[in-house]
Amino acid sequence: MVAILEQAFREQWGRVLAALIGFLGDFDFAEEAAQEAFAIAADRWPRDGVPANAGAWLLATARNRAIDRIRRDRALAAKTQLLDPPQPTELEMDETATIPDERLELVFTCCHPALATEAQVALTLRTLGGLTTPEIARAFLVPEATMAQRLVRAKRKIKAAGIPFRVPPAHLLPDRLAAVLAVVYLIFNAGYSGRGGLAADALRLGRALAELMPDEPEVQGLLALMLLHDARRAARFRGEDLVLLADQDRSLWDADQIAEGRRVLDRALALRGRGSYVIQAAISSLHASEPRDWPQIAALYGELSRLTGSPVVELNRAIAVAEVEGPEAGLAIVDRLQLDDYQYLHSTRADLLRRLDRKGPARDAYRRALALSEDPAERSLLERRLTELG
Amino acid sequence: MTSGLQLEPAETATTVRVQDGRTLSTDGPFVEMKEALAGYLVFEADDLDAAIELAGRIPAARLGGAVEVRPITEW
Repeated sequence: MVAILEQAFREQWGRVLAALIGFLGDFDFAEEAAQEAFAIAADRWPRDGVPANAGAWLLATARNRAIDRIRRDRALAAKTQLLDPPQPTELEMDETATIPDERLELVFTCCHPALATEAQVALTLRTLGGLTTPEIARAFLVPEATMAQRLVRAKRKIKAAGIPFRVPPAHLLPDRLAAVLAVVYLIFNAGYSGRGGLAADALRLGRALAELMPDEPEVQGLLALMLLHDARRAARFRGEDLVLLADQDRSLWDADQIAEGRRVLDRALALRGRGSYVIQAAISSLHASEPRDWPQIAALYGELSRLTGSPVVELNRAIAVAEVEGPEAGLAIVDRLQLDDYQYLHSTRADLLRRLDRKGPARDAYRRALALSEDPAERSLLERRLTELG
Repeated sequence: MTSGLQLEPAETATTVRVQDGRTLSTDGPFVEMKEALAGYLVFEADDLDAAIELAGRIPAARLGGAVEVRPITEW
């Protein structure tokens, strides 16, 4: 039963909360009402069974609780400045009713550029992702009080500055959508370097966005990218040790998820998607094939590099070029980059130098990468390489 | 006294700049404000997006400066 409740919570929280915010016009009030409804469910469902339409039940219960509270304390309506004071009538429990889906309005509000990125991330995980404040604090390694404060400030700003609860109009949509996708990708990346829970949360968010915006190629591209990367999760670690792509046991890859990722990628390409997430997904898809089509991978990195102007992308292109034209050609690209504080520049240089049998400079580069790395799994990989060099 | 308004705290501020015709908004106050507050305008806007759009039309936002959008405390 606990598992069923937890599943309902994860599945329904975002949708119920979004509908409540749309209805009540206030984040805190909506969150309290949703929490009450979920608490009532935790009490009743084990006894009476889970209702057929759990979402509609939760929403109706939360709305009725909110209305009760408004009735009890009329002054509250004035204090919270409800945008649209609800009619104080009990709602029927209609178990077949579809509840309004306002999750898109919610995600665009949470990822508004007037909020700091870290606040966007926390708010998106809290509201749409259904994570608790302590869970988010743990995932980002900050004290719980700091995370709670971050959420309170963000909600206060939404209210005081009047951040609208809506899907942005067409002329604002490209920029705003980019911000939403950046938040989801950031959550995924935080999960990718070990914290598995966050990757699953990002995937859930990505799936919801892909369902809500089926015709946006970059939304599909991001989902494809995350599915393809995540499919290799089980093979990326051996015990505590990081295993590089070339050395991974392919039988540990999730073939179904790779196939799903490729289907989503095909959809993005059919929508004429040529944006950065679509290209990254295409690269990831090529990496999952054997033998790997390195010339094509190098060409896609070239495309991505033109699109983003990012030296990190150039670094990845250098690795692909090294596979096609040899380590010398890769090294020539690496040595043009201004990324001295980036550990992967040094670990990439080190690997290329090692392949060219230039042991001294390779050792120096591994040491430089080690000095910049904080991740225990990555450090252990670098140390192994350094030992192998003798 | 001819004019006076109380602003909401700095953490509710949004800074607006226009670069290459694109309106960029970022979280927080315009840090250089202390040294170079050139003036203020009072607008009524339906929501923050409408306020940002108005701010983007102010010449200072287009000429390398920035416009800080801050809600006024309503009593």
